[in-house]
Amino acid sequence: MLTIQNLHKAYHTHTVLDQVSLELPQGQVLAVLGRSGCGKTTLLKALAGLLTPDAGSINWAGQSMDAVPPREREMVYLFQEPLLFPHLTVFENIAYGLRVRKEAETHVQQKVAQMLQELELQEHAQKKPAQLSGGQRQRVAFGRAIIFLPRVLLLDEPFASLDAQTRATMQRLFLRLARKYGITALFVTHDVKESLLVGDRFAYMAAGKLQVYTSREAFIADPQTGVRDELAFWSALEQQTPYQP
Amino acid sequence: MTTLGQQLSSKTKPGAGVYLRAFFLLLAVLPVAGGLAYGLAYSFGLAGALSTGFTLQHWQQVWSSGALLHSLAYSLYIGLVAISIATAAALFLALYFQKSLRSGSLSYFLYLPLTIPAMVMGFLVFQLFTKSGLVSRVVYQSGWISDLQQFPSLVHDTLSFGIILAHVLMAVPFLTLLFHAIYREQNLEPLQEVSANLGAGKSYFVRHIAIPTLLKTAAPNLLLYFIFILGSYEIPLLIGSQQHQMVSVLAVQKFQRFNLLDIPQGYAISVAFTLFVLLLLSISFKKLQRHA
Repeated sequence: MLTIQNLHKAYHTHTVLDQVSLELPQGQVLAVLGRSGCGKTTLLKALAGLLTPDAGSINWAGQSMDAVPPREREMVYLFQEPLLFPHLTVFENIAYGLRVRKEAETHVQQKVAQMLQELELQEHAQKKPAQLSGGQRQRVAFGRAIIFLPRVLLLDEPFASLDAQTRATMQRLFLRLARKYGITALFVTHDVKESLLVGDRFAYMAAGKLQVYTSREAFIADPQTGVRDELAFWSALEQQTPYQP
Repeated sequence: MTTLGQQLSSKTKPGAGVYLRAFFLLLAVLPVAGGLAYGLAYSFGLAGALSTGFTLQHWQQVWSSGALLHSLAYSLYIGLVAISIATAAALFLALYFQKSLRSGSLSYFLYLPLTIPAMVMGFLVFQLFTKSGLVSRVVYQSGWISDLQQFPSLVHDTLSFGIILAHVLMAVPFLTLLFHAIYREQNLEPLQEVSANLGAGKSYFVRHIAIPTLLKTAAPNLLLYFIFILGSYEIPLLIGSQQHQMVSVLAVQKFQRFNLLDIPQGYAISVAFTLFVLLLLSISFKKLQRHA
């Protein structure tokens, strides 16, 4: 279980995280919906240990993570950009986390081959990142992040820069692998549809405050999430009546 | 665009391309190719005040004396050692003094040596490291040696410590700034965050990601700097040993001797060196392209 209590972060007088608290059981995906600049990225970076919060605590399975450095925290932050290692092949990019952990070569070969198959990238194994499309690069970054089964995966609008079709494919891939490997994840997005698609649990973030909902229905029912507006738009379109927000 | 405009652009574009290419050839290729052709003609006895008609005699003399091969090997030794030490030092500075380089304090100290000409750097090393130089006097005053003559030969020495040091001092600032620029351009800072997030320490990142990325991206520049050292003249002339000569020094000696019959040998050495450099460049760039 991931437990965050009263996390607070401010830059000068501007509060970015305002007493953020949440509990996320193992193997579940929390979809965090919010507009740009609401503090979503800061929350994820604080969890990954890439930023130090001013106050609050982060616990995993009852164990404090506050003093654990990023490289030992096993909470992997997936950036908006794939940020692959440019001189390494797809195979070596995915194998990076395993090599760092000094896993046996046979294990590395076996696990990476399996991951390449999951990601449908077998024929691209020996290519360099520059030879891949945006969607393929994002798949490699995703595979690299989950291959050593981190405690928590932190996804920061990972599919935002992809076209609609590739994005849908990636969402399906994420769901399939998240279920298969029992991944615990915080999935940050500004897309209402995406949040409903990937989340087991739901939260909304605005001005550094995080509101976690008890159910999908409660998330949909809250007007500030914009889900009802979205539904009204599509329903008006279906009935061919003018939409009035 | 109007019909007239379309007609004009369709007429002028290909024409402008041809003129630009011709202008480039005139400025860049023609002087080099012309010089090479003249040097080749001179070395074969086809040009010059004492030309005797086509002969291979000057090339045979250069080849049989072994001076060219010896000086080429010596130049390669200097170039390889100097570029290796300078690269290692520049990598260390670029990787472990990121903040100082960004804030500008270290950049200031790096830009300053870039303005020093090779000849001044040669003099500087000479003043510092001869047996009667500044370092020798400091060592003598501190009691480590009882006589200035006990100070090791670091200038005009057989191992060419002085030449290598002067080149290293000149190359380190340039390479550090180059690596620093590549570090930023290749997003190595966010990549270090990614690496740490995946469980790697700084040294693992430096060995497996930063150094290979920097070296691979800088490879063409490192090669060009290596060639620049190979062909250097002022520094080896000032502080080189009597036994060994770098290629440029050897060629210029042949040109400037009183015996005018040695001049074709100077041209033969220059042409051979140019061909060697062109061969080195073509092989290296082909390899670099294959690995890109």
